[in-house]
Amino acid sequence: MDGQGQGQGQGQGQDRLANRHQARTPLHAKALIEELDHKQLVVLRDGRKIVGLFRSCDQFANLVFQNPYERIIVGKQYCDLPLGSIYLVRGENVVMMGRVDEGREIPSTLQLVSPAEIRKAQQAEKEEQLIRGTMLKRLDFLDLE
Amino acid sequence: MLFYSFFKTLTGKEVTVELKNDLAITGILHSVDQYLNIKLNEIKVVDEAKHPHLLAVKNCFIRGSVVRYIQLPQDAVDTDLLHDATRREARNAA
Amino acid sequence: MLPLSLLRAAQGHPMLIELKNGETYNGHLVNCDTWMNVHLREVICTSKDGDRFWRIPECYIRGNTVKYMRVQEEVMDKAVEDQKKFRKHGQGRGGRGRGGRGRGSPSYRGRGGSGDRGGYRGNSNR
Repeated sequence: MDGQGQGQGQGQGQDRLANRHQARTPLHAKALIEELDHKQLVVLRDGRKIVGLFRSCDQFANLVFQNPYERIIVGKQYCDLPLGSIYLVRGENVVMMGRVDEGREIPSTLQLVSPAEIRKAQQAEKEEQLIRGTMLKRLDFLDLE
Repeated sequence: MLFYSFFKTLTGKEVTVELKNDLAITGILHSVDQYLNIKLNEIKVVDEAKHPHLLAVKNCFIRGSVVRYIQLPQDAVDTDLLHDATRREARNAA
Repeated sequence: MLPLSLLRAAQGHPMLIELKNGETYNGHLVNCDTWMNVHLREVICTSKDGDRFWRIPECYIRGNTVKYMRVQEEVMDKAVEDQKKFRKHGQGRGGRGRGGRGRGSPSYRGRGGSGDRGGYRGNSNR
């Protein structure tokens, strides 16, 4: 099967990256192969959401993205932070990955803001959650029935 | 391999996957692999407001290692068959 | 082109590595292996909060501590070139190179099946 793929590639002069992958990748990575060369949103274990052109993967779900950006959404504001040209994510840090529907990418309710503003909003949200956390702990201590 | 085979019988059914990061996603089970990585179609995030990023995503791939629970429709599961298969696997493994 | 091939092609190039603990390491890649262990030179290490910096002449990072890596665009072009060159050679010898074991990437064809050797054990999560 591999020989066939190679012969075709030579004949056409330009292989499709996906085709080459398909010929040489074991079954358990086929799920990801279908998504190659599409814009994907990947959620990492640390909570980051990265959007980029999905270029490569392997059986550990190590992923390669081209021209990715980090999409940060806080409340009604969002910001896309560019992350350079090539990004290689180690598979064990991946939670999930989904194809981004170009038309529905940004809900109309969201407002684009600058990186500085979104950082401020993130800080505010973090502090709010910290306060909420400490308050809940205090209430817990009171042991209200 | 038991659960891999088991999930293969559930493709096309609607399931809810709860992840270790507390994200819960409902969708149609499209495929599963030997690592129990899951591909879901037509996904709907359970708490949509908390995860606005995923509104644009219709199909997703979930790494098996991050799954906490998979909620299945009861009528899709033949528990007797599952019991037998479990006992067989246990016998073969011993 | 597999992710680990991309990493191999990055040898000699500058790159940024963020670890699971949030530290970032900026340096030139000297060497790497199938478990994503890397050897860097002329490294600037930045703490998680971005407030402290260290300059380290060289360092070794164990692959399983990596969160992600950033490389330059030209590394990808180089990786694709390398793969074309490799395949040309492999075909010349009757396709021996195709299994890829010589290049250090995990082989998953034929030899006893599931291909979970080598790098697979590096993934402690599984």
